[in-house]
Amino acid sequence: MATNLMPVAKADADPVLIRIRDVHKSYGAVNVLNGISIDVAKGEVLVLCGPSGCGKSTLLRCINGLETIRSGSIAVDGRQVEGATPDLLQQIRLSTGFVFQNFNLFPHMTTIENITIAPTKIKGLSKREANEEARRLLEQVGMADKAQSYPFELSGGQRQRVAIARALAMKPSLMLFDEPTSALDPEMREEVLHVIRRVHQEHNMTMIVVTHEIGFAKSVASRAMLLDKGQIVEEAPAREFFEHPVEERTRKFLRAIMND
Amino acid sequence: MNYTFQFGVLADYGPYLAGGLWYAWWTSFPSIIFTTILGVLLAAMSMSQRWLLRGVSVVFVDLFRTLPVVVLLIWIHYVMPILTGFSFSPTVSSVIALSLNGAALACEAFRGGLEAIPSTQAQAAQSLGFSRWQVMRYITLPQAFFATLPSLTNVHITVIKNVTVTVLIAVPEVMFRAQELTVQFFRPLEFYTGAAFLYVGLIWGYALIMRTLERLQKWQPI
Ligand SMILES: Nc1ncnc2c1ncn2[C@@H]1O[C@H](COP(=O)(O)OP(=O)(O)OP(=O)(O)O)[C@@H](O)[C@H]1O
Ligand SMILES: [Mg+2]
Repeated sequence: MATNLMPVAKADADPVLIRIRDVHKSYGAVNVLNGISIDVAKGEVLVLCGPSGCGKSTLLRCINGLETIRSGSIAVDGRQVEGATPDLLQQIRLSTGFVFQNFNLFPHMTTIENITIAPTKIKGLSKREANEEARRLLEQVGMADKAQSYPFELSGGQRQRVAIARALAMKPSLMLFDEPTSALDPEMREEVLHVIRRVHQEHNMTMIVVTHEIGFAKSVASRAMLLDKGQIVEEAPAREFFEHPVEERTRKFLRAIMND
Repeated sequence: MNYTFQFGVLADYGPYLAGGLWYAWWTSFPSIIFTTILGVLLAAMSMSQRWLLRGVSVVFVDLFRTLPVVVLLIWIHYVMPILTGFSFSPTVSSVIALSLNGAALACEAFRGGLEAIPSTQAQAAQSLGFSRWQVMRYITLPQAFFATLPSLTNVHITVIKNVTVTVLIAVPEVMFRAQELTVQFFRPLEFYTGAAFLYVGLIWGYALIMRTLERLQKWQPI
């Protein structure tokens, strides 16, 4: 039978999507990441937390090749990020969606233009195809009625949902969320977290989420990790991490964010 | 003061004087276009990662914003032909001089606008797969353009005002005609006052067009 001759793609055999090894990063004389090693499996949701300035955003930017690391290695889906050619770097970025704390929507474009600009200009989709796909995504994040609005006309929660749709439009296999709800009022947080939850469920999307939303983290994340001074302090399955932290540093941190 | 005004001469020769506006416009309009295109290009170059492009931009700007327009104009029209055997009509020489000077000013205006765009915009675009050039083309320049419009209008107005120096190489615009008529009729006050009004009118008209353009911006920065 021909079926047992089906080749098995090597990438499928490797369950690890992101492989980070002993990464060091500094800004001038300031060491921001001091030897970070993380494996993230396909379909996994990893929650990163840590005090302000511990290097969470920097780590995400390094994974996306937006920063150059001093030493160590980062591979996304078998592609080496450090030293990547512009073409390879673009491929890596195309397979990775990045959602920022401050949304970073393009203010001069409407909602739908924000979502279609990359698919049309980079992937060469026709306007019609891109618009159809964008409308589907807007439906999914509950923003269908705001397609023609400019970002300044949207609330924070709405902006963030558009930003998520914009990232999803490139059909990434991995999403990086950098404090997606921390710039939002409490009432708006839930609508955004709900969207993130659905994205994970519907696409079985691999995600790294920087967040201090404990409820969200416990219900969605497979693993959680505390970063402090550019090092991993503790790493455990999410529920265990939040309910029975081992390290004193973690306990202290969790107490601090629960008192917020 | 015992000068008697005779604005009547303007009734006879005003149309001829005003005809100079045609030349003023056709000298300033191409200069404004070149100024803007060159200015955007130089500003984009000044933000490049390649030192050669940055260097060209810096040298260009420093050279042409320091060179007095009169010197530049005379040099292009009278000196360059001696050196190269190659000469331009007065209007073309003027357009070149005004454009080079204007581009240096416009570059600075655009650069200010570009630098005011937060770097997070470029980061968001890069994370979507945009190359540095595409980031400039689709994200930063369009935003900077509207932010720069008011100062760009100032640059364009400077370019229009600089048209008056082309009187030196006999472009028959308003100032040249005012001079011509003055020599003929000994009525400097009337003709030069007429010229002043014509230039003010031209520039106000232009500023009005630019303000309409500013109103086309449907979005607001956030
Ligand atoms: N572009 C930069 N140049 C210099 N230093 C930087 C730069 N970006 C970040 N840093 C420094 O690196 C450290 C880590 O910053 P980072 O933004 O990664 O922290 P963070 O964990 O995301 O904090 P927060 O929770 O406040 O967002 C900080 O001390 C910050 O001052
Ligand atoms: Mg951060």
